[in-house]
Amino acid sequence: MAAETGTPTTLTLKSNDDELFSVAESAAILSVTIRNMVEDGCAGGVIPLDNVDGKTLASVITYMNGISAIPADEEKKKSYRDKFLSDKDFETLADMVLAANYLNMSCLMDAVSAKIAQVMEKKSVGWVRRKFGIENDYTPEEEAAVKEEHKWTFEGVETDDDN
Amino acid sequence: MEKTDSLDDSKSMDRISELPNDILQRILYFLSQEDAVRTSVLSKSWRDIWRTRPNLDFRGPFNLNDLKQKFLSLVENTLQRYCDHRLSLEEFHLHIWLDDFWYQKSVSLLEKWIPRLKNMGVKEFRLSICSEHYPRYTDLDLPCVVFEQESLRHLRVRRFKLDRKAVERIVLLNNLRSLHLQEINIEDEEVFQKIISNCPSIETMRIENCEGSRNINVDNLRRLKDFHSSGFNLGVANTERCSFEISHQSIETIFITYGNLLFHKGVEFRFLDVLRLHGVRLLPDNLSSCKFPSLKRLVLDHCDGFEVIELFIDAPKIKSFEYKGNFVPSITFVTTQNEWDSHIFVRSADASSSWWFIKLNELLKSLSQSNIRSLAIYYIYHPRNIVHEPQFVILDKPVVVESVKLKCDNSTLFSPLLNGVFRIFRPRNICDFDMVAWDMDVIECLWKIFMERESGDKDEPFRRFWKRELEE
Repeated sequence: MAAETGTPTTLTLKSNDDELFSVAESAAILSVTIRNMVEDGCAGGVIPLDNVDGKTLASVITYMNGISAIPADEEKKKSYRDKFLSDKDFETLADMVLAANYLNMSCLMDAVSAKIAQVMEKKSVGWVRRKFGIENDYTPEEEAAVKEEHKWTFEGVETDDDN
Repeated sequence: MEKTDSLDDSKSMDRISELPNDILQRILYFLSQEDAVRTSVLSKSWRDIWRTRPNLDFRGPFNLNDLKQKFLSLVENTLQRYCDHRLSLEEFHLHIWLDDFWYQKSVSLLEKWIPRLKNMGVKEFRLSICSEHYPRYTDLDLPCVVFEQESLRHLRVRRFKLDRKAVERIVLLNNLRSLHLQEINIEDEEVFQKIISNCPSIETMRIENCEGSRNINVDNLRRLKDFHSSGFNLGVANTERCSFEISHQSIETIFITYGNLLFHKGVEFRFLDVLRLHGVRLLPDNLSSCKFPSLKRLVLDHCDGFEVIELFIDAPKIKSFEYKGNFVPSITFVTTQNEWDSHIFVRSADASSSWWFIKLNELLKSLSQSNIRSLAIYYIYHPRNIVHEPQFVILDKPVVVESVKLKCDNSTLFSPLLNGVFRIFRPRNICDFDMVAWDMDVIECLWKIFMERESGDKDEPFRRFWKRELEE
C-alpha cells in the first residue's frame, strides 16, 4: 500500500459539501480522474471533487483503501467488493455509481452496476417499476405494442406480484 | 429476493430513471438480453435504452415462422440503429437458425451484418449458426461469411456441409477461442486444415457427430486446452476410424469417442489432467514413451491396439484409472502416488483358460499399488470354446480387491470362473453374482470352493458370512 519510495504520499480530497478527507495517493489513484490530476501536478493542495458529497466520498474512500490493500488476486478483490456492497441500499448505490462514473473508477462502476442489475434479473416489469418507483407513462395500447415487439422475452419471468 | 431487500426504496422517487444514459447502459450490460429488452416496457424513457447498451445477444426462435421474420427485422433494425447513432457495440452474440425457406434471406442478412461489426467496434463476436434442414442437413452450405469476422470469439455450427467454398474467404481469426462443430460434413482434411491454420488461438474444441475428414489434426493449436470429439464417422459403409493428432503443449483434457489417437513418441503432456478414450485405437509404443506429469484421470474404454503389447503409463500424479474392454491388458503405471483408485471391467469368452487368469493376475498385481475399487468380470458362454477348469498355480499372495462383480450367462461357466478368480484375488465385498440360472449346481460349487479355502487364512469375514448363507 505504501508508495514505492520513502514515506507514502497523502492526498487531501474535498467533497462538494466541504468535507476534507485524507487518503493515501496509492489508493486514491484507483480513480483515473484523480490520477490525471496528480500526474498534471494539481495535487499539491486540496483536490476538489465537485460532484461527490461527503457521505458518498467517505464510502468511496473506504472502498479505495480496502481494495488497494488486497494484492493482485481477482478472486479476493471480487469477494471484497461483494461484501462492501452487500448492505448498501439503492439510494447509496445510486450515489456511488454516479461518484464512480465521475471519478472514473471502472472496477467500482462495474461492481455497482452489476449489483443494481442483479435486482432486475428475471423480474417482471411490474415488479421492477414498484421496486424503483418508476412511473408507467405508456397508454395500455402503447404498452401492448412495445411488448408485442419482443414477444418471446416476456416468457419465463417471475410472476407479476403487482396485485 | 431476500438479499435484495435492502434495496427496497419506500420513497417513490424515481432515481434510477434519472441516472445518466451511460450509467444505465452499464447497468443493462450486466443483464441477459431478455431482461434488458424487458426494460423497454418500464416507461417511455426506458423504451430504447437497451438498444444502446454495449452488448447485444440475439437468440432466434426455432421453427416458428411468424416469429422468424420478426426476429430478423429486430436484429436488422437494432444494428442499423447502432450504426445510425454511432453507438459503440463491444459484444455481439447471435444465435440463428436457418431453414430452407429462410435460408437465402438469412444468408444475405448475415452477409450484411457480419462485415459491419468491425467498424462498430465489436471486440467479442459469438456466433451460433444451426440449420433445421432435416434429415439431409449436410446438403445445406455453411455461409462463408461466418469465417470473415476477425472479432469472432466463439463459433458453433450445426448441421451443415463444410466444403472448399465455405472456407474460401476465411480470414485470420486470431480471437477465436472456442470452436464447436456439430453434425458437420467436412469435405476433406484440407478444408479442416484451412480452418485450423487460420484459428491459432483456439482453446476449446468440440467435434460432435461429424463426418468426412479422415484426419483431424490439431497439432498446430498450441493453446488448445480442451479437446472433445465424439461420434466421428467416415460414412455409412466405412468402418475406418478418423485419426486424431493433438498438440501436447497446452492440452488439459482429451475426450475421444471412436477414432485413432496419434501421439508422438516421447513427448511430455505437461498440463494434461484428464484423458478419456472410448473405442480408440492407440499406438502403444508411443503412448508408453510419453510423460504425463499432471494426469489425474485415465479412462480406457474398449480401446484397442495394445492387446499383446504392454503399456507403461508415466503418470506420477494419477488419481483414478478405469479400464473397460474385451481383453485383459498389460498395464504398468509409473507413479509415486499411493492413494489412487482403479476400476476394471473385463468381458471375456475364454475366461476359463488358464492363460486368461494368469494375465488377469498380472494386471491385478501391477495395479495393486492402487486401491482396486472394483473388478467386474462378465464371462460370456461361447459354444466354440471348451469349458474347462483352469489349471494354474499362483505362488504370490492373492491381491485384495475392494468389490467384485461377477456375471456369466451360463451355469457351466460358473465353477471354472470362481475357481480361477479366488486363486488370484480376495474381494472385500462381493456385490453381485449375476447368474442366468441360480441353480443348486451353482450353490454347491460355491460351497465347495469356500470349504476348500476354509483351511487357508481365516481372516476374511466375508467367507464366514457366505458360509452361513450357503449352509442354508
